[in-house]
Amino acid sequence: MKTPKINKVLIALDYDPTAKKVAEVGFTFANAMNAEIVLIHVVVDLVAYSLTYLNLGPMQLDTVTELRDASEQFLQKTKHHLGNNYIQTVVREGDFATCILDTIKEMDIDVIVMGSHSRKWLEHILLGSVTADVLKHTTIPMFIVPTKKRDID
Amino acid sequence: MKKDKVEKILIALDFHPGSEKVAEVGFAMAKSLGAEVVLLHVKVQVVNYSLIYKTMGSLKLETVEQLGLAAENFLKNSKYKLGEHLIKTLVKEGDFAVSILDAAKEMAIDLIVMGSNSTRWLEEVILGRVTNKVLQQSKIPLLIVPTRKTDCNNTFISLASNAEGISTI
Repeated sequence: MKTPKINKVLIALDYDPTAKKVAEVGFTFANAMNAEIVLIHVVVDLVAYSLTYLNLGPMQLDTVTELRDASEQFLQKTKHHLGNNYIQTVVREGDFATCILDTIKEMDIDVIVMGSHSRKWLEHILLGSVTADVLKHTTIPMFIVPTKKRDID
Repeated sequence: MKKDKVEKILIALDFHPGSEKVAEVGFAMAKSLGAEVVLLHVKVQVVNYSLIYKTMGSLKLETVEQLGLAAENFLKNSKYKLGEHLIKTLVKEGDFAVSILDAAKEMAIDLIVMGSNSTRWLEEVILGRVTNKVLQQSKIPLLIVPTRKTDCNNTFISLASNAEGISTI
């Protein structure tokens, strides 16, 4: 029997308050498995937005850089909260599923951890788009942390 | 930080070929976590089917029993394949999501492991009902193991052709 060993866990976080729970549960899980941890935050592709709203044009670059900085800070904060300096952090821009799948490939990830009901993901996940996209193309297991609506509110 | 120790893992299996992978991944995880394993198979409610397919009426009772036996054998086989005799097995009947959630509650499960692309679950799990229900009501994490689409398509086709064969006779 082939025993799939889990060496590297990718934890996907967004700005939602439930991200804390996802990070904590994912962290505990990864620790119990003695696995490396990578935190990822995906920045929504602003360029795509600015094409629709042309008057956003001049703000575009600043906003992207700012968002990226904010994301990096957010992940650093989470890292300190978890109290482990060996955690890697990744910030990406673009389509959520594509970014996640690319990172999985590039970093040789064994399990991806995501929350179930985050504000941004709520609609997508329930309707299947984000999770289904990732699930359809991924070859690694997906660990879904239940984050109830009331946790958000 | 809350205690999130994983001590008991529930692995939900169906007859789909991908189940083997689900069982292996779930089991490997349980092993490295030092957790107990419970294998669960949920039987389809044949009664519901026979209401729709009235011609199946006479087959009803036998089929339910046979399904139960088949399910237990299937879990036993999975258990031996995994090579661990201490694994608990459990067969439930009824709605997938409800049965899974009930079992998780009853047995104080910390993590549910299930496959993504099994014949019956593919549409239901990913796009909606089962996972939705499990996720919406579950307080414990869920591990979804991707199983290849092609496998389940083949099974589905062979099952469909069998069923056709029977009905034409």
